[in-house]
Amino acid sequence: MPQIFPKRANTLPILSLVGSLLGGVALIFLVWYYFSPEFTTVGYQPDQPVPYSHQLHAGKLGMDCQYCHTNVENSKHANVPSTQTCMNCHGQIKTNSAKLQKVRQSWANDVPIQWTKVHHLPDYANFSHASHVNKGVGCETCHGRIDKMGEEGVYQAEPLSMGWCLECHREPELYLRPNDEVTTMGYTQPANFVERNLDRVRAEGIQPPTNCSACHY
Amino acid sequence: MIELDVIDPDESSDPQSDTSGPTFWRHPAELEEEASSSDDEDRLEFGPGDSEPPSGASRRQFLQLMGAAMAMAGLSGCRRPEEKILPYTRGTDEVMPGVPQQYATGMPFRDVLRPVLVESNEGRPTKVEGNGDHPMGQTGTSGFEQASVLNLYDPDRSRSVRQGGTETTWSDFVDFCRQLDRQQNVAVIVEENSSPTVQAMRQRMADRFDNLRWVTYSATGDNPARLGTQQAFGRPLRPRYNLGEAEVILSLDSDVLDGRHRDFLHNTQSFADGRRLEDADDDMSRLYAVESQFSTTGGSADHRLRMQARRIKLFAAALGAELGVGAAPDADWSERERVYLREIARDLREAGSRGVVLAGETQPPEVHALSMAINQQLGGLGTTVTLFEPDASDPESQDESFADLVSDMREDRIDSLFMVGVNPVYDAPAELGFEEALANVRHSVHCGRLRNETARASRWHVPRTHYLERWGDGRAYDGTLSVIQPLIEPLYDDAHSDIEVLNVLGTGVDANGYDLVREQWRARLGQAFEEQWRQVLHDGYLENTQFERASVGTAQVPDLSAPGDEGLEVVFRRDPTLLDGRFSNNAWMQELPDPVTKIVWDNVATVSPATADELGLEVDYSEGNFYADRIELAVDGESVELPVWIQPGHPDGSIGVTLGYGRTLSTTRDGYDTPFWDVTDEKDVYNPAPIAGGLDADGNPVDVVGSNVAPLRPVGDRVATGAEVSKVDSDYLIRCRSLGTGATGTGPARRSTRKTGTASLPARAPTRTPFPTFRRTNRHRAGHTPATERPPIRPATRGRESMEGERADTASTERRTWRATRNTRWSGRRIIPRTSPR
Repeated sequence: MPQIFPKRANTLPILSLVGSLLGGVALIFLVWYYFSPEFTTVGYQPDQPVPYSHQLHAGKLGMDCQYCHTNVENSKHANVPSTQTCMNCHGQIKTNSAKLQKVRQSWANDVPIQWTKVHHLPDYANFSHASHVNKGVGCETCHGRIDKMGEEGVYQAEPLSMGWCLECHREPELYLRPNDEVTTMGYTQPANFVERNLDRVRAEGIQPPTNCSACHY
Repeated sequence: MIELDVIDPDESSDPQSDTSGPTFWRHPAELEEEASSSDDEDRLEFGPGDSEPPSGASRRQFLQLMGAAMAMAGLSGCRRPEEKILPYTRGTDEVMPGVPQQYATGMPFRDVLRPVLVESNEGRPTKVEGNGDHPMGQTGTSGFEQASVLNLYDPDRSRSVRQGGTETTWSDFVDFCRQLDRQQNVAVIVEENSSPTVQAMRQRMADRFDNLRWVTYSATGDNPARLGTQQAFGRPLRPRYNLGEAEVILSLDSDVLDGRHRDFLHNTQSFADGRRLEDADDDMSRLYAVESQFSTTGGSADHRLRMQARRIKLFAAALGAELGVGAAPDADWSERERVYLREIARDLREAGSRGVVLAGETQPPEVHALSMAINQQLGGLGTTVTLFEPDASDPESQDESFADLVSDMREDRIDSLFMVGVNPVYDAPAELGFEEALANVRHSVHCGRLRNETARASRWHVPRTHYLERWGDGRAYDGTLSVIQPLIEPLYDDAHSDIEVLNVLGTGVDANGYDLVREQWRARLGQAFEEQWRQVLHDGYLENTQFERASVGTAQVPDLSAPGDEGLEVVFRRDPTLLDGRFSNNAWMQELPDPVTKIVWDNVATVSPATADELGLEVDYSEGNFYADRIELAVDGESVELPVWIQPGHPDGSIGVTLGYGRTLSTTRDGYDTPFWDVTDEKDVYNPAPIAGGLDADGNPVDVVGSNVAPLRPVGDRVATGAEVSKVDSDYLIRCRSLGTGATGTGPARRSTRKTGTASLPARAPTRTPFPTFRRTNRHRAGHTPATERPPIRPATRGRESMEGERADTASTERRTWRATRNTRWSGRRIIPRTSPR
């Protein structure tokens, strides 16, 4: 009876073993990366009802973040400005701009503009802007270079995953800045910033919690 | 104060020598458990059956089976939900998104207003707290204030005006009111309230209609304290008890420490003041409770005597006679009762003006009058009892005027009937025949928050606003005036407040509640109105508006006759969580256990073990569940079916029942029609019927929780006699948290044995004779975890300091305008790590 399998078939078990091993490892790494928020959500840039350009307002005109996002130091929400805030200036400049049509409509009809949320945290994660901003976490640290995001809208620059949060919660001295630099875009840390932040952490008793119930309560 | 030696000869057989087994138990079934269990300590942490592997379709199996389905359904969750941000169009200085504000307002509760602060998140009221700045001076609330928020968001609330069951508009109703003829016989039934503006609207109606009948109605009848003071002093007064001043307190079936009491917060706080020991010389007050149910007041008492509600009347008379008030009635007392009578009289006499007698709502007005006379005799009027002179209180009995009205309705002498905030079809005594009488009335209008039993039986129905969405006013228990200010616009456009509805009736003009209340207050405040108005809204009260203290002559001592008929008595009470049904459709309140029986989602007929034995009724305890017999309870031809509950400490020959169950509400929301695989539809999360019970398309009751006992109540009384009981069936599952504590809940806070217990007090510990009415099944004990396998209880760990700081930062709650910031602090929560015994 002739042999069904040639001799070289003897390598098949080993090959398939190694293959499945490598394939498994590769699969883990693929899932690790492609299922992570770093891949799935970074770069999320939904269409917004009004082609508002942070690049123009915050970048070119140099308006401070807090001119519009007024409550960021006092509330857990960094509020989206009311239509009135827009109309403070646009009641006088660019009053005929087609891009501002929806803003004017909102103002005339007293109906809110429906912005689409970009930075989305799950409902079970509680986050407070006030406690971060007052401790020296820069806007840019989480939101990226807002001053470079133009009319096509704001996109998500960081993964906002739990692991990413914990990076800073474990070593805040690597990320903090002085409070008057919180809204600065493109801030460069001085050479001795780690010592400076460690001093601050000691002086102000900054202990970012890493226990579960700090955010999931 | 005197020390009582052992005063019960039956139980005085040296209770200190009996140290076998614990004296602390929550239910007789537990006592039996303990008796047959060698190590009672292992019951501390784990409930029965906790160590068993799950049987039947367990949660674990369910998760295993559903795991795959869930995973597939969950894939749709990978899609990023698109959320919208809607900022304000006009900026506001007051609202900062994310930072809650507090507004002072008041919750109408029976005929008083309870001052509250309500937290608002971006315009949505979410949490109610007490207003500590109010002259009432208490920061806390009862459970009703807490749960009232959920009534606002009740999805089964009535949404539109209805005429003959079909939807119509508010303007149609206004037209209807305008067309009412001046000569018509018009009657109004309002709930108990304390609002001066409602009184003004009553005047407007009286000006418009020649024949106006105005009846105040409450589900348990008129307030006997009101009628009692009327009997004693010739006019209705409102007593306030300063329990902090008292050394000896006697409660005659009075549930003063319960949230249902109008002056609950004052009572609990002043009682606690009288019990607080701060240095070695301080004395504690002593509380005696003679009561016809096991109540929270009885639970707090030093000496408790169970007694049928109808005999408490005699007890009061006998006590009065001992103290020199009135004549002693002809009654037989047991040895224990006689000793209590003697010792209480002696104790009260020695306490003099620092002794106080309180009568409860189940007691007739005569007992209230007598207790006032006793308090006067002791010299307590002015020290332990303050009598307020209420501004407007009809001297006539509400029960009588209501009964008169119903008989007039039956005889076609009423053309139009307006029912505001009341539900007499559900809770009026059956002997009056309210529903048939209502059918005789040509124009009947119901104004209520829910489309309830009365709404369906009326020609017109107008949705009523919740107190958090209406303008109004009222008086606190001490008379302090407050404005009810809304925190939110009415959720439904058709909803109107009682003031608005009554104003339309009185004037035919559709006016806003804000203007109506301000109009009344403008007359009251006079000069600098706007400024004072703002101050009242901010503070939540108007200063120096307490009722006058009444000066009274010698109290008339009523004649208390012996109760004639024997047989079983039935005592009707408002439910400790649902009240008279106002909180029936409130899941928080349905879920809140009865303070004594720990039963949820049901009402029961409470009887004593001896009575249950006599009637041949049983409650079976098996594997952590209670299976009760159901009875048919009949009073004067009316009957209702109820499960039975055996409560040690309940008087023999008495049956306790509570109102508020057996509701049939009509909801207007759409039925549940989302297919189960559509996991993204979050709009419809409710059952088809209201949680308290509803009606299906053919008008049959569905999902009804409990049974309605209100029709059995005799007119003008809360105690019925001569009840008949017959067993209907068995094995009715009672949802009860009486024993299921252990690892899943909190165990007893403190345990004691008889040895260390209260040696100088009468032995109140139960006898060790097992209750024959409880059958215990042993099945669940087979796999009981031995004590050695239990994980150790570690010391409590505290919340981290840094967390405290952050929470204070972010959760700080700013009271509207310049008010001090409150810190909600993380107060060292106990964390006891636990490993699964499985």
